[in-house]
Amino acid sequence: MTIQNQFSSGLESGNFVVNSDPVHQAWCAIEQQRQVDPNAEPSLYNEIIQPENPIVIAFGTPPGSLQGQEGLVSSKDFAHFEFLCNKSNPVFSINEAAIKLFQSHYNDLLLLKNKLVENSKSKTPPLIIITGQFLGGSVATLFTLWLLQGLNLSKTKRPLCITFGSPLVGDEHLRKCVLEFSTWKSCFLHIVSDQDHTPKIFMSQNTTTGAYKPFGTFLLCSASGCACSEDPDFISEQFVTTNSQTQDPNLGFSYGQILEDLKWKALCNIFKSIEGQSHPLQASIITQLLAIGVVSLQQSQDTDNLVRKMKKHETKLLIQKKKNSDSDNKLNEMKIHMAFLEWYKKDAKRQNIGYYDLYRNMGNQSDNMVTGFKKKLMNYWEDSVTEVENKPQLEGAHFRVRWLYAGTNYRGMVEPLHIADYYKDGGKNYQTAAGKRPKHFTLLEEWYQENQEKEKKKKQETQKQEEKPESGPSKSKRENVGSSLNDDSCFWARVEEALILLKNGGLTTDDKRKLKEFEDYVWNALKNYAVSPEIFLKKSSFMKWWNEYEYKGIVESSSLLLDFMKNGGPREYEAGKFT
Amino acid sequence: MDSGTLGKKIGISEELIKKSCTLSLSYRFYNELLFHVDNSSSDAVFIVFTGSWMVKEWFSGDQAFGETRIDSKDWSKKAFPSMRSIGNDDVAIVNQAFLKRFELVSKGSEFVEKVTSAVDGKKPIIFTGHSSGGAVAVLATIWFLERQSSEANTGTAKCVTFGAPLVGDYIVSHALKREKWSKHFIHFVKRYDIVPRILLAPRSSIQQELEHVLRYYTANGHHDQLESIAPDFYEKVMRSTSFLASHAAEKLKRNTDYSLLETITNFTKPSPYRPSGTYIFCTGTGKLVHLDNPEAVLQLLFFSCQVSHKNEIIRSCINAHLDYATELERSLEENVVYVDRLEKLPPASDGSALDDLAQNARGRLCLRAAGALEKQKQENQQQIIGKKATMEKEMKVLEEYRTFNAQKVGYYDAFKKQNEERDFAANVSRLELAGIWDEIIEMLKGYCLPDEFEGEDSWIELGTKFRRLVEPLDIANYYRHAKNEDSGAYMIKGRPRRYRYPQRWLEKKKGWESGACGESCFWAEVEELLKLASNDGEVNETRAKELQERIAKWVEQGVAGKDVFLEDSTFLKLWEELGRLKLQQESIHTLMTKFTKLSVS
Repeated sequence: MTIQNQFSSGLESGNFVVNSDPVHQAWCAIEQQRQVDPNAEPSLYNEIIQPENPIVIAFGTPPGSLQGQEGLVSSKDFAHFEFLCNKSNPVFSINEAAIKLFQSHYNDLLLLKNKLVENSKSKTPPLIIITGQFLGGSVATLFTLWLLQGLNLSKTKRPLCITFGSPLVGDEHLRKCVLEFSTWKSCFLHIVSDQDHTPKIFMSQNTTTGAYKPFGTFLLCSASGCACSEDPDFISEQFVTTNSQTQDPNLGFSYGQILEDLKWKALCNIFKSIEGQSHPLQASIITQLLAIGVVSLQQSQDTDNLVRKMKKHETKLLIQKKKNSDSDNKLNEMKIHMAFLEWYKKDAKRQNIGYYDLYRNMGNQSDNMVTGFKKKLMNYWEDSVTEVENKPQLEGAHFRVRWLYAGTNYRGMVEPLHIADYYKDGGKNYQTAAGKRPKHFTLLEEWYQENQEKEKKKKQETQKQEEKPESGPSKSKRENVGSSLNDDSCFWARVEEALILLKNGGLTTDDKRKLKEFEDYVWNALKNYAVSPEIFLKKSSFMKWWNEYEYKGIVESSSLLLDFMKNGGPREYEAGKFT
Repeated sequence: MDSGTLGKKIGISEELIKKSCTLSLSYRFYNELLFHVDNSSSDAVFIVFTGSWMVKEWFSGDQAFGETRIDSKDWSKKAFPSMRSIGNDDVAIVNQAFLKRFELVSKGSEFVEKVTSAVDGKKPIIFTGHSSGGAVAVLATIWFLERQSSEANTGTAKCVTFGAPLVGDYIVSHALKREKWSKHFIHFVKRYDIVPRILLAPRSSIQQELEHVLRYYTANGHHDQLESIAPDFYEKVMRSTSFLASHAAEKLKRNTDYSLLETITNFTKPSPYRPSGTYIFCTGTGKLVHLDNPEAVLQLLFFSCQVSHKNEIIRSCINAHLDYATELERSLEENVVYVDRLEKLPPASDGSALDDLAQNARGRLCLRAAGALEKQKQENQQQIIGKKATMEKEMKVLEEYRTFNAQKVGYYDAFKKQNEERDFAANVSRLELAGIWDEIIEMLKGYCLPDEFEGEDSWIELGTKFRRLVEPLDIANYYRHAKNEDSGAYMIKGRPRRYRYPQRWLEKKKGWESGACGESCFWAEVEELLKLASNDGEVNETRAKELQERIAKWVEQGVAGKDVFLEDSTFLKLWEELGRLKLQQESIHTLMTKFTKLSVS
């Protein structure tokens, strides 16, 4: 796929970042942190609070050897970062030196985190910059992730983490875990100069070099300029580049001068014109590579390969962006499918059978069409639910309530069709046997219940003593029962199970107990207006069950349901007048 | 790229431009005067705005860039009703100090008199000014166009500025394009003139230097400290310009939804000001370059003022502001270069005049990205136009459905009941239309359609037709599913943007207050009042009265259907419940008697 006018924005981001205040505020804080009295008790970080400025927390790197700590440690072996895990990435790894440093100052950091979280709840929450050089930057990164977990980002602004010359902190799984939080990666800026060799320190021959993967935005600086990149493969490559020079990481590379130079360069007309490039994406990438000193104006085979890879990455991003915006169109298509099913349901009612049984009997042309809609809807919702499920718990909790209502509506309409297919093919124990009920139905139900609980609590809190909470079904629920769906989307599975019981010749006491249980369940549902009156339609499976149940004389004479069925209950119920 | 004489392209002769320049420069230091009227030409009346040379006359108020909402004062809200984004319901931001100065101008009786007599004399008016006088001229021109738009003789006004600072934000530029006023504004900017960039820097960063620089200008080029101040001043202003330009360009070029830059802008805010109208850059080599893409102008404001050596240009970038006459004299003889089709601009220089302004690949790519965005907006519009046939087809289905039900159950109630197959078919049509309109609104929200879109009569008409036809069905659907119980009233929680936007378009076009065109959603109020009444709650008397009056008015005007009064309609149910709140003397009473078989007494 080639898009006529596609670009890459690395140079612009680079110039923007270099001209922004936070980068300079962060570097100042690091210099200050270093100047803290050497005789004083060494602390890991220094907090700078100035009126009208963001809070800056600068992490230092304690002196000492890092030998033997170049490798990665699995998240199974350390605490406090479980929240990052998700279903597809249950485990990730972090550099040993960084996590050890974090753990050894855990108590201090916990106090700091709690304080910042508390601050963030104030009316005008302060902005926060978290920074550090070399290993201090690695701890800053870990601390920022940890802090993000505690902040309510809908109420407070995102913190900004800026590292200078820090080695990569984790593996591919960590990168993926962070990406699942849609906005988190935009909190991380890593500044790396090609003159600074300390970030490459863990990339020695002793460790498996491919294991580290970056996340966030990297500002790559060189003598010719700077550019930003988020392409993990490209960034990793910049870290691997071997260099024989050794450098003492404790001395600290001076980023201050580098930033000053870049600030001036941003205003200068120094970039050469490039010849022979007509495609804007290719041209943007080459200007970026020139700025970060990776290639010179003379092109080579290597450059071509590099440019090709970067082009592919950018195009992939653009396709993803397009896909995100297409998902709205798909949602509308699904609404139309749902409208078709709604009509099918209505039509079935007119045939005195109900859509469950009409579909189960599969007598009509339109039933085949329904199979098609059902399939499309299930595919859509399966994907949609998986996406939400893969989000880490924290993020998942924020999904939109509207989405959940749409999902509940879908479940009420489509799961009965799925149950019909299941029992028609001779299936049993839809609800009880493991793996029979599609998982997305179970999840949608669970989330709906959770949300109901939450809403109820909220209502109770706001109402307090003023009003008594409504007991029983609301007036409108009763009035609208005629067009409603069953609250329990597995209602028909229960009916099918009851029918199977009745089919058995000699009923055991256990069977009878189960049937009585079902009867009670139905009675309860009726009292709450939780089932659709369509279950009383003449040709429905429910009526088949009831007739047989009554005929076989299993029902007790004192049964409330019996009284209801005999004395015009269903009609009253449909009219919303049954109480 | 195209070239030719300037006059033809922008609709104002070289003579008048030169005269504007001469007048602007000679009156710029008349501080005690706000403006001057020149009647000496037989071709036009010139209204020349004088400059203001105190820092507080450039930056006022407590905002970082001296900005304010244009509706922050009652008079300005009335004076600039078009300066907003209609559907998005966003109001333009302008410089407070310049707004204040224009307030002084417009409140003096002399100004209105002179403008009126110029209009009566059928002479074109040219609002002009140098420096901050140019900024005030912009506001004066908008004010003029706002008052003239209904009489459709807007062709007679022009705004010509020289080295003017920016006045407003992107909404001003958007609104000028939407109203088709952009071409009335012609801004001359010399490549190295620092002044048009000044407002891109926050006041706090340049306050001291600006004081010296402005004093230098009024002291006619004599100032001891300028030498030491100039480099800092240039660097600070250009740093902010670079910050804003790269932020804008990153948005144009990036391929992702979220970015680090959004986090950073929470910490450092770029200036809200953006170019608007038409710009003519003077290259300093005797050429003029004409651009009317505001995104591209912003990029060029940065790239054309870049320097190669620290000391090369810095002092002259302050002096450049004073001398527009010589350069124009020379350049107006030459042909002007019109920059269009920026989306095809090659990354390497191509020998055109644009080379003088943006030599390097980075700058050229930014200009190209600005062009590509404009092109993309056009393509998005084409894509929507391609769906017009589907829209017409589905609306026809619904119109037939409405006619069918007009005598029976009623359009609204038939759909709400969903008893017949045709109700279901109507629902599918509703959803098809909703899908297309949601897409349009989503694009408007992100400014992904041409700025003119919301001002085009054909779209306002189509949107109004769609709104009146389909919104009742959406309301019926909302209350049929009792969504008000889960989420709240339709008007508060459920009303889709696809109806809010077209309603605002029509209200804007008619010049009515917001909420005046609520005819498509009265059913929601009926449902809400009915809910209150049937739950034995108190129906608010004012609400009940207003509803009855409005329904009567809309039915009489033919914008709402008479099926409201059918026997089984939801409105009749409410009517029954209203009791003493029924209006007795008003037109609703007459209508009820006429249309219903019920006794109304």
